[in-house]
Amino acid sequence: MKKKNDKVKGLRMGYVKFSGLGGYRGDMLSELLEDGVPVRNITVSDEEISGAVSPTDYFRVSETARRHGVRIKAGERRGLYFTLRKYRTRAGLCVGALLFILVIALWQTSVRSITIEGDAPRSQVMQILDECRIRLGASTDTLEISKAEHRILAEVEDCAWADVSCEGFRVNVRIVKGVEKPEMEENAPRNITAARSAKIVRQIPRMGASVVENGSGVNAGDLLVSGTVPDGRDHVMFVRADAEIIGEWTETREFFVPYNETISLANGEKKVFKYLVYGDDEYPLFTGKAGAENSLYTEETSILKIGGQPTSFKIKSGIYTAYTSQDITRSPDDVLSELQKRKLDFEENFFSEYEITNAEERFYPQDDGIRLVIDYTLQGDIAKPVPIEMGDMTMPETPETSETSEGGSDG
Amino acid sequence: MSVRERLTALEELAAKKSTVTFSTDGGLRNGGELCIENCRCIKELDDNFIVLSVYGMDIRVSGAPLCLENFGVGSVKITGYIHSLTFEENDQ
Repeated sequence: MKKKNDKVKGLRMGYVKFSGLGGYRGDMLSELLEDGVPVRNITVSDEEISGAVSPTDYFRVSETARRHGVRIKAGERRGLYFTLRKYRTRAGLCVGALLFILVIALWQTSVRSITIEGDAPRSQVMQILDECRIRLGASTDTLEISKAEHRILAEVEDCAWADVSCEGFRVNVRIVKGVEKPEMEENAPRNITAARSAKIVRQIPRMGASVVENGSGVNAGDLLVSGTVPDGRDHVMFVRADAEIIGEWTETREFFVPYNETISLANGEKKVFKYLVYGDDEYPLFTGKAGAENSLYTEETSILKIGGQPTSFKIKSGIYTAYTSQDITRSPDDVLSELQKRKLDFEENFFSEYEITNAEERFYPQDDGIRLVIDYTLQGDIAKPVPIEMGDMTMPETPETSETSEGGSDG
Repeated sequence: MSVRERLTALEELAAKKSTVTFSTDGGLRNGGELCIENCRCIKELDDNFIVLSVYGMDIRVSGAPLCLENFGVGSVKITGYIHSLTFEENDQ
């Protein structure tokens, strides 16, 4: 009739089964209940009470039972607590377990294996890793993983994606190369026309028949080198014209800098959002969403140190500095230096492909600022290839002196 | 009323409320499970009869066989074939 549930749940470290005789069992259980001592599988027969408690609570249960006149007796003992207690005198097992933990811990602090995946020159990758302190035996705290990734991306040829990760004592490098551009054999006939209006300074035709002379002026779209060449036997042949045509032209640019101006400067309120970085993972150390409107974003990363010792963790600070509007007043010298700066920026951005042969500057002081007008004389390649439409069979009138089908002639 | 007194009053108020949950997992034939919160003491205990005291009431549980477990301060679980459940007012 009596069915006992032998399975004791909820006592992780193990359990001690007990049985007690006589006394005030209800009061004993009430006191244990009031003290919050977990007791499992309490069953009561005519004279006996039995149950199971955690090994750490058994002493308290026995004390309570004694106070209420219950003669308690410990029975079956099972669980992790007793297993560990059983082997506490086996020094070899303890030393072995400690050594095992020590070896695992020590091995995790230095690089023991480097794996490179992907079609990349191993020696080059290993050299980059070595220069980024990623080598066998190196401490995992000092690895410059981000730097290695950037260098691999920049230095390995055709590298499209690189990932360097450290897992335990193993460093994995994965490199994916981009799909090479297919070599397309382009042999369709074409002409060379002028990309802009200019005066021809010099020309190097490599293929085709030049139809312009040095010193002559051309408009945008004019034919410069023809891909239709007579073969001397009343026939024409189509070639793929190729040439370098250097033209010269002028351009006028204006720059104006006022004395008084309202500018936006990033010197307002700073909002800092910190992240804990481990490997490639980032964990925000704040609640909510990072970000601020109308702000300049900068980043700072530092190695987390505990007790002065560097750890594998890094702290990344994302700093949002708000822009503020500020009225500034420039002196004439400041205006001139600002004009020079804008001029240099413009030339670097827009004229870097051309040669500036002359730049005539004219300053016009005005009430509210200074205006700078510059007449640039530029030289550059104005050749623009245009495919020959096969329906167009008109023979160009080519000067005999510059007729050529192959080879170079400078002017 | 000071903050301490208010907290004490709230604590006493919480202790006056007891929740009794009875669940049968797979039908009454497979036994039941009775969970009682804020149990003050165990008045009587037997193989098939348990009397628990909560605020203002005694709970009599009869069944065979009954197994008792406590999970912390005032929380008690009774498992077994529960035949009846009686609530009686007491003087507390």
